[in-house]
Amino acid sequence: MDLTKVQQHSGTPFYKAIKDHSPEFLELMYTRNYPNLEVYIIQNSGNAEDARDIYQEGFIAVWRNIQLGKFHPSTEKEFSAYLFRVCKNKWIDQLRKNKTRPVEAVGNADKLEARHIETEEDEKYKYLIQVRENFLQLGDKCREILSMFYYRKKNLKEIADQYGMTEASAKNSKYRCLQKLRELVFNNSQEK
Amino acid sequence: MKNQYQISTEDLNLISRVITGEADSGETELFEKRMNTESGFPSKVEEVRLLITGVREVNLAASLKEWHEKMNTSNVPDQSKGKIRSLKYIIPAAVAALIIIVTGIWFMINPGPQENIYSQYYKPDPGLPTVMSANSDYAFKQGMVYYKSEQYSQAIEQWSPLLETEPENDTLLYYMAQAYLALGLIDDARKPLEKILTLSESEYLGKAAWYLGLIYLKENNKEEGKALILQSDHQQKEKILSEMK
Repeated sequence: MDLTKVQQHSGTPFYKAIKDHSPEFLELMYTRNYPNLEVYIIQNSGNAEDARDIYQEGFIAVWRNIQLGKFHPSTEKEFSAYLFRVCKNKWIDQLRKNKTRPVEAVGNADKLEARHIETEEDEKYKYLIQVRENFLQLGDKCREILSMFYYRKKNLKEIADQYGMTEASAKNSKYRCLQKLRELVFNNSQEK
Repeated sequence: MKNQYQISTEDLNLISRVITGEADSGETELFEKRMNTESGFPSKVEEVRLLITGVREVNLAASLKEWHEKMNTSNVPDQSKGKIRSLKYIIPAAVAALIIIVTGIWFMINPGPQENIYSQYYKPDPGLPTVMSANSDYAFKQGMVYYKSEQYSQAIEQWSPLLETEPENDTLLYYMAQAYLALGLIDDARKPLEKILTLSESEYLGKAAWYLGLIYLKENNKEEGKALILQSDHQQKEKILSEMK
């Protein structure tokens, strides 16, 4: 992770909003950027379901690259253009796999960019996939506590109130759940 | 990722707090020091970061499905109207007077809920300190003197030629927008604010997002307004967002 680059962009409101992971802001970004992609996919041999699937895959890929410090959008325009390119490349790849009719080719820069963000061989990416898989193996309470804290941005007091525990207990539970997830990922990756 | 090492509760909490932005300055300082001096620490940080990212990602994937269901494609806002930065600057200054009259009448006749929010939250920027000197900033500072004495049209007149030679001067763009806003020339204020939002390193990004967001709210474009307010760094950001719900 290029910390210097991240720090350079850390003051940008757009970058902060999307990096700090406000679900509300992400929803807005998701909703606003979808229509253009749907138009493109429908015009290029696809339907609304294809558009939805490609868009969701692309949205997560872009979001992940932001979280991993590989992409630092300073403005919404930059984010939207990148998201569109990623989805477009995914769709072109899928059409090629399906051997359907060719679509408008993208430039070399786009192809390079697609390769840059599609780092499926990347160790970090593999680890993330393992985290996603193993998260589902956690108990309900652990999943909920981690989701409340890290995704829905609830504070420890809110978590404590929901489960009728003290803030100290909530903090401790959060730690234990994260450690449990870490162990699951480690143990299951050893078995593979 | 090989995680045969232990991560203590203390470390996990420190790393987690830094990642989620909850850390205070002392914790941040300690964190940075350990990142630079403790050989195994960056690996721990990376692992915790990936764990948290994974937790968020699995939740995000679930949210996307919900958002998509919620989003009725036919009701998705018209992008030709909605795209903030792609708006063409088509309204010439010559019609400014007409706009004042039209918006003024509209304001009196039909102050909608977002309009009320604009009225409640719009406060002119107080301006910059003006210590006059005979350097190249003189013209700008003279404009600031006009601005601070509420002679906004003189400030605009003073600053306009400067903007022609420095079209990306964010300070100039910001205060031009402020002067227009103070005069009620909303459409003239929009252009410099939008320009600032394209300048990724500008210190005025947060402020520009706030005022442009207020403009959209004034026009009852709640979605665009909210998106911009979310990007702003204004102290009343959370308050206005809660009132918009």
